[in-house]
Order: sequence, then structure tokens, then C-alpha cells
Amino acid sequence: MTALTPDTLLIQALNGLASASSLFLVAAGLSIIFGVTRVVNFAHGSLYMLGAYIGWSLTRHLASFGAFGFWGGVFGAALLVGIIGVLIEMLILRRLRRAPELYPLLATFGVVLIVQDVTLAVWGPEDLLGPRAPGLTGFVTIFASRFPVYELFLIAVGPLLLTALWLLFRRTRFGLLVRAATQDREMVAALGVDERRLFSSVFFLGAALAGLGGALQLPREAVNLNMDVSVVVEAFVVVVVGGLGSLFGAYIAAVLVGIIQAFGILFLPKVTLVLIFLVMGVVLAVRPYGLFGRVAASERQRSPAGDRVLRPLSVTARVLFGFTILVIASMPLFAGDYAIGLIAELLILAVFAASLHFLMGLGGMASFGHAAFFGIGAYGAALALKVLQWPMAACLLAAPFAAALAGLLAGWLCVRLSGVYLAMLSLAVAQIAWAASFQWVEVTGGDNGLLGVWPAASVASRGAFLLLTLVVTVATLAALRVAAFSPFGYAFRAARDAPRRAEASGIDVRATQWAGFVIAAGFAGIAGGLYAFAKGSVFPTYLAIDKSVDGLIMVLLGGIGSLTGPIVGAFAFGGLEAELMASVAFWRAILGFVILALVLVAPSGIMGLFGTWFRKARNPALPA
Amino acid sequence: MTQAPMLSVETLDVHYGRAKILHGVSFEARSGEIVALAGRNGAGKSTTLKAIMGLVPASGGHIVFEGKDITRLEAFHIARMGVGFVPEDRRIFTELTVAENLAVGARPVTGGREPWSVERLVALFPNLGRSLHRLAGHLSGGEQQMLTIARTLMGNPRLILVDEPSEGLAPVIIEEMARALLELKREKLTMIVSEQNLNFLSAIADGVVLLERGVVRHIGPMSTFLADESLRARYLALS
Repeated sequence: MTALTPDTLLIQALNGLASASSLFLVAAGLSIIFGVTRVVNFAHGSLYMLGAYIGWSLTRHLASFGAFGFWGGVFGAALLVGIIGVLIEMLILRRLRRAPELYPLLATFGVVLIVQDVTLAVWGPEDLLGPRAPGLTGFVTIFASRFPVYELFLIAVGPLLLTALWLLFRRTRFGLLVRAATQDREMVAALGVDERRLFSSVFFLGAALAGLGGALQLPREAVNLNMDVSVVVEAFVVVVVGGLGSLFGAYIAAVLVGIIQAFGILFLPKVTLVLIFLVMGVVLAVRPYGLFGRVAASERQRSPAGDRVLRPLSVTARVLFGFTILVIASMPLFAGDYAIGLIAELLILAVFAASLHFLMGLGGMASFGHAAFFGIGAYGAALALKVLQWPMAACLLAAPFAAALAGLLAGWLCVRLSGVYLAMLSLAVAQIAWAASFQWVEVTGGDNGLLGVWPAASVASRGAFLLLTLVVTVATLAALRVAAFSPFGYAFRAARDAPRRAEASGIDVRATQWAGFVIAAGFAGIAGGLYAFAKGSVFPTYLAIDKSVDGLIMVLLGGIGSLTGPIVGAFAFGGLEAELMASVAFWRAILGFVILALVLVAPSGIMGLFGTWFRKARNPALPA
Repeated sequence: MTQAPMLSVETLDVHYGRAKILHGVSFEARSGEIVALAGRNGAGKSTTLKAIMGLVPASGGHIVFEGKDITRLEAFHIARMGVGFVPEDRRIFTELTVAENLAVGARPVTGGREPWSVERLVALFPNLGRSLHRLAGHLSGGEQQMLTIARTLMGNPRLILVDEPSEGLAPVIIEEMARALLELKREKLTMIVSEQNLNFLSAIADGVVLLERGVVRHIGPMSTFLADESLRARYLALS
């Protein structure tokens, strides 16, 4: 740690401002795209990463042209990434315009996976060192410290681009249409504006900004394969803290995040990971729509479940379920250890997915951080076993209690918001929990995790553990189904579909949603507790964003309009992932393509597809 | 009258999900006419207008505008052919200024008519002239409704679909609205106006299409409708 002198502080502040610029470019693109198309583009970090890689290649090829080569490479990269953005919009997202709003998000997850493997295949796993910017390689002396000129240049880029974008939006017809469409895109179409061209151009702009942000990083940091997810999470924080749709807010928030990180490393190295999410949590708790955000007046909330009505299980479905349970229960008699272990794991994933579906499908609250409760359940069970020396049954009970307790706290914050804001706040809460599990080494073992979480002797064999898992899973899923059709379930769904009317008919919407949040967290905890014993260990990755994303994919893949959806989704996704990871090198790309194919063919999930087939078969006159 | 209708709606069906909202709705509008779509809440008036505009998909039937089938066209395409839509809940761009709202709607004129300009619109709606550079969200309800119509006119449409123009407005504003619509009629603009306010309709409309639960119950001239006690009783028995 450096000594704290005024010039170290200044240098750190300047460092923070320099990193804020690239972050602002990514966040601005994300915000513009979301504003007009309502697509939460999770692949925006991938576009940033592609900008860096493509910029690396272009600047190398053009190196002989000096400054022209470098800047040509940087802007060429931005241009190419813009075109990639247009292709993503035209080939994938355009087909999903009428799908519920979370399906485009799922598609962008697929793009993230594909881009990861394509980048790995083209540029290899090693970090790549970029060129330095000709003419900006020197240093200036600030007090007694040497500060790179390129960093000063980056500091200027942020406000310059902010001004350029402001002029674009205020002074051009394109900007006018973007602002109008951000408020009410259907009305813009009714006034004769071709939405498709507007969407494509907005994607071009947003993607090119991300690509530029990535390419501008070349002289600063080595290009690597982890750039995508880290930057997209930070960009989400920036967009939400600044207020969706406010470019000025995004810039201020980017500076805030940049500075916090620069000083965090200096003063609080132990909690750097938590810090920006803590700030985001505080901002959203005080100003739910961000620092400069406003509630869009014409925001039309669409239920993520579409207009599918929840129905009790049909006789056929009951028979199918019974049969499946029987087959799984008899597996120890004929199946091998690997298959038994896999099925137990898939059952646990089904409980996790069902708990998230309870929150998303029935409650209309899409959480991007549900894995936090899964992980807290796992840690709860593991700590009860290792520290308190409780018997296994008590540990399995401790898991949901720990998770529900965390859900009580997180839910209190989250249910005050809805839509993307709720998703982002839940992500922040989950990142705080993840960072705690990672950095609170004394209790959680940090990166090394907690090992030796073995089941009691009576269920130590794989077969016995499968039966235990099956019993818990069936009981849990049945309980969730009963809850969905209970008076609470009706109130919960009413709060989703028409909060005002629910309120007017005597339902305390907040309290209902809070209770639903706690229930969903508790059930995720059950899954986490079982998972700890199934794996014999607990790691911070259980709480990580990837796990939350897995949950979202399972729920959306299965279809959000049916209670069976998450179970089918968990088996489809978990099974596919396990099989692919074990046998194929580029399993991410394949998984990405499978997700894209499913989303494009069955935009209401696997169960939605079945549902349409069944209805068509029964009554061919119905429209699709 | 031998002239072909400007717009004909032929046995139009619309579904929302699995619920059928419109059942074989048919009617016509001739050039320069104001057709009233009358009926109670939930009768299908708005849905009919949105279906013509391409904002909700038709599941059956045809919509023909100036001889061309527009049933499956997208909204922006229909707008460019000369159909304007004035939505019921105003839906102005509240974060844009009045002038910017008008600019979003601007499209070149077709067919040798005098194009609408901000100046002409200000003459029609004097209130808007005083607030061109204010945020549209700061206008009063009546002014917002005027702006919605003005914004649509900027696209130089030949037919406009006006959804519940008098809803939630004070009587004096409703009178101004009727005056403006009659002025537009003198400009040979064809209009389909969905409305529940019979006084307002009787002041402007030439013909009436009475909708009830997605079915056309009566079509005829305004004068017959006004003279027929039993029809009016049915229509006026509002909830």
C-alpha cells in the first residue's frame, strides 16, 4: 500500500476517471439499446470484449501505418462490432419482438456463450498485450508522480463522447426518434416510423460504443477472455445507478464506480468486491429509479407469464409425473453411480429452478441473483455441520432457514422495485453475498470453500442419497404447487398482474411480494442444502452470477407459464450442460446455439411449445 | 353513391390470446365522411381501430384501404400509406417538447394536397402555439389531446382513426374538439371516431356503426340513429 499523500489521492482519482470513460461507453450503449428496444443485452460485455480482440488484431495488421494504423484499428474495431450488433439484432432479437421481454435476454445469454468460445477459438486462451497509442505513450508529472498521457486522453474521451451523444440525440431526427421510441415505441410505429430500421441503427450505435470502449482499453490492459462478464455487470450497475435512459446519469455513475474502485483498492482492499454493489444497493434503496432516472410515464408492464393461465395438473400429467417418480426411485436397482449422481443433481436443480419460477412466474419478479439463496442455504448447511456439529437432518433444515432469513433482508429492499430495477438490485444483493463468501475467509474458507460436507451414514450411498433427494424434491415441488393455488398464491399472482387493483381489493401488495420473496429464498435454500451434501463441499461459485443465470435459463427454457416448466427446464439445461461439458471442447458455443434455437423455435419455453401442440391437436381452429 | 369506399372492413376477427374480441366486424367509410364507432366500454371500438392500424393482428377478415389490402401490413407501413392514428390515452411523448412531438409525426405529403405545417396546426389549435417549446408532459389534458391530433396530422394522412377524443375532457374543451374535427372534415379528411358521448357524435358524425361485445348491431346514417328511440335506448343504456 502506498503512503497517503495528496498526490497519491489525486493520481487515484485520475485513474478512476480514466477507467470511468470506457465503462461509460459500454453503459451508454447498454442504456440506449434498452431504452428503445427494451432488450436487456447481456451480450453487451461480449461486444466490448470483441472490440478489444478485433482492435488488437487490426492494430497489429496496421502497425506499419503508425498513428493512422492505431486509430484506424480502434475505429475499425468499433465499426465491425457495430455490424456484429446489427447482425445479432437482425438474426435473433428481431424474431423475438413479440415474445415476453425475458426471452430476448435469454437469447443474449446464448450469444455470450457463443462469443466466449468463438473468441477462444480465434484468439486462443492467452492474455494478449495490445499496442501503445502512438503520440500518447509519454508521461506527465503530477506533483511527484508520473502519470501516463494516454490515461489523460481517456479522461477526456468520456465527456467528449457524452457531448457528442447529447448532440446526436438533441439535434438529429435519428436522435428525436430514439427519444420518442424510448417513451412509446408502438406510437412511433403508428406515426410511420419503421421500427426495424430504428432498432438496427440503435443496435449499431450501442454495439459500436461498446466496441470502441473495448478497443480503447488496448494500451491499458491485456486483452483477456474474462473481460465480458466483468464489464457487463459493472455496466449494469452504472446504468441502474445513473438511471435508465439518462446518459448524463450514466456518466456520473461511471465516474462514481471508477473512483470507488480506484480508492477501494487503496483503503479497503478486503471489501473492494462488495463496495460498488453496496453503493448500488444504497442508491436504489434511496432513489429506486437511479440518480437521474424517471419512471417512464407510458411504461406498459407486461407480465412475464404472458396470458397463459395456470391450470391444475391434468390426469395425463399426473400419470407422467407418477411414472417419472417411480423410474427415478427404482434407479438404484439398475443404474450406475454416474447416472444416479447426475439425476440427484438434476432434481436439486429442479428445486432451485422451481423456487426461482415461483418468484418470476407467479410473482412477476425476475431476480438476477437468486443463486445467493441457493449458496446461503449450502453454506448454512455446511456451517451447521462443520461448526455446530449438528446432525445432517438438522443441517438440511438449517439451510432453508438461513436462506429465508437472507431473503427477508434482501426482499425488504427488492420488492420496492419492479422490472429491470428489481433484477439489478437482486443482482447487487447477490454480488454482496458472493463477495462476502469469497472474502470472509475465516468463516467460509474463501476460495478454498468448505470441504468434507458428507451425508450421514444412512444416506451415504449414492442410491440412498438419490432417494432422499427424490423425497425432498417431490415434497418441495408439491408444496410450491399447493402454494400457487392457495389464497396466498392468488394474491401473489394478483399483485403481479394488477398491483393497483390488488391493492384496491385489500391485498397488501408489498407484504405479499415480500412474503413470496422469502418463500422463494427458503426453497432455494433447500436446494442449496441438498447440493452441499451431494457435492461434499461448498464454494463461493454457488452464489456467483453464473449460477443465477443458470437458474434464469432453466426457468425460461422450461417456460414460465407452467409450474412444470422449471422442472423440465432444469433437466434439459442441467443434463445438456453436464453431457456437453464432459464430452465436447467448445461446449459453451453448442449450449449457446441450443439456447438460441430453443428461444427462436419455442419462445414460450419447452412447456409452452407442448401446450401449443396439445391445444392445436385438440382444436385445430385455434390460432397459434 | 357509386364511389368506392376509402376504407372497408370486411368480417374482421380479432383475438387477444384465446379470447375472441371482434366477431366478423364489417363496415365502410367513404372519402370525406366521419363515421362514428359507438358502443359501451369493452364493445371493441378501440380494438377495431387498432386492428385497422395494424397494432393488433387480425385473425380473420380483411381491411382494404384505397383498394389495397392492408390486413397483414405493419403499423408503420399503414401509416405511410396515409392512415393516421390518434390513440385514446393520448400517449404523447411527455419528455419531448410540443414542437418535437410534432416533428416525430412529420411525413411528406402525397397526392398534391396542401401539407400540414406547424403554422397551420397552430391556427387550428391556438393553444399549442403558445407552448411549442414546453415539455408536452406539462400541458393540460385538453392541450395534450389537441397535440395528439396535431401530431398525427403532421403525417398528412387521408384517413384518421380517432379513439375516444372526448374522454376525460371538460365540456368547453369537447366543444373545441368538435369544432376542430369539423374543420378537418372541410379539409376533406376522412375520419373514424370511436366515442361514447352521443352529443359529441351527433355534432360531427355522418354515419354510425354500433358495436356491442365485438359484434356490429347497427349501421346507418346519424340522422336515422338519432330518430330511432329504441336504438338510442339500447345505446344509451350505458353502464
